[in-house]
Amino acid sequence: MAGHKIKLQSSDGDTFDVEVEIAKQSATIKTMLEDLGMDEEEDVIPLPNVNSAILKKVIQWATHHKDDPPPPEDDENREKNTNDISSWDQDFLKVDQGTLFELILAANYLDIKGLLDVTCKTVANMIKGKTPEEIRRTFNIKNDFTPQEEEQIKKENEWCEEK
Amino acid sequence: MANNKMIMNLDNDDDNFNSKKSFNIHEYLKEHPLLAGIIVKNEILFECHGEAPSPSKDYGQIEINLDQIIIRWWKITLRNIEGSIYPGQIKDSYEDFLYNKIAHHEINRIFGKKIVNYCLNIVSGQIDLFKYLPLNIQIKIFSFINIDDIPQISLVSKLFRLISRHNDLWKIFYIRQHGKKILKNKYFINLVQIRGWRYLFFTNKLKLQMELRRQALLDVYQEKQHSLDLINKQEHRQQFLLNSSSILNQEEQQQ
Repeated sequence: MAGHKIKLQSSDGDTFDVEVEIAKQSATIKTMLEDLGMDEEEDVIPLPNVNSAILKKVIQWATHHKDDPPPPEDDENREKNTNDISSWDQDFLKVDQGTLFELILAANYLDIKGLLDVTCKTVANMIKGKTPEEIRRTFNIKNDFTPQEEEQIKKENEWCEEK
Repeated sequence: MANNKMIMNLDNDDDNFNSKKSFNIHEYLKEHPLLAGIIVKNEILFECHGEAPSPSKDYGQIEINLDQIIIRWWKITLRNIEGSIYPGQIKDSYEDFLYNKIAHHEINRIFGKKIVNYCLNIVSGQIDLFKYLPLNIQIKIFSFINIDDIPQISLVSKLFRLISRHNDLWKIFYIRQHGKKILKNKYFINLVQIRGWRYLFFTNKLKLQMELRRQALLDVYQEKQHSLDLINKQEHRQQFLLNSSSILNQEEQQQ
């Protein structure tokens, strides 16, 4: 079984040869292979929503993480820590915002839990510990509160901060 | 004259504007097909309208779509000054808008400098991508943020406030804090449906126990009422049978 490869086709028509075990980190592809019986080497899996640049990155990530233990099924219990991003992942995700958000959507579409977690954590790190104005500047978000509404929310928040 | 001065001023304290380059959004969307799928559906990247700060009563409107930026304004004045009563409109491509100082001036006059910069950011490629993510992903991102930061974050925008108060987000926070065991308690589930996760997160243990006991009592009470109904019905039926048989008996006796 090891070394057995399948072909993934991006939206721009490029095909990539990928080991089955690596491709199966995507639950979407795994289901396709198992349910549709697409086991033949001839078969090409079309991914019409993912372009070559992003698919290349996704495959690069999945290849690096192929020997990771499978993520625990229910990890809601686990203490969430955004500092546990490995240095390889940190370097891997040093990309512009457009690419980062496109990767999030690709990980969501392909259902790759590990990649979705690490990309979401990266965005969370861009928000953590910042003032509202800094966050707005980071993402170019418009403050759509009226001054009165802002005052009201600040008042509501006061009791949270007191403790 | 006065107008010219205003434009000059705007130019001077706007240092980042010269460094901006327009970008080709269609090219960008081609490079990001997944984002494009969501953005194209919305079509309008930014829209706002409002009144200029007093004493002016002028009204303005901005719309940025995938091809151009449109600015409209209506001058509202009590006196009939020639030339100033006609509404105006500027339609610019992204590139033209970067250098159209009259457009910057009109936006600055009605909406203020922040909005000018905001529009300049958009036409040079800094789109607010966060708002285009699906809600479940937005919630996931927020779930990685410390709870202490949430009050601050809810001040960013209406969308951020909505996410930071979302029931699903507080469910994650609750379970992380207290574990999954309590999910087996059916009174607790009832309570969640009534109060929401965020309320329960901030409820202390003593009060929670009180509320749970109340739920349990309510349950027992409702059951009792239900069974009482059954008993009542049986009694009614027996009463009825008894009565009818006694009437029958009376009739027989009369015969």
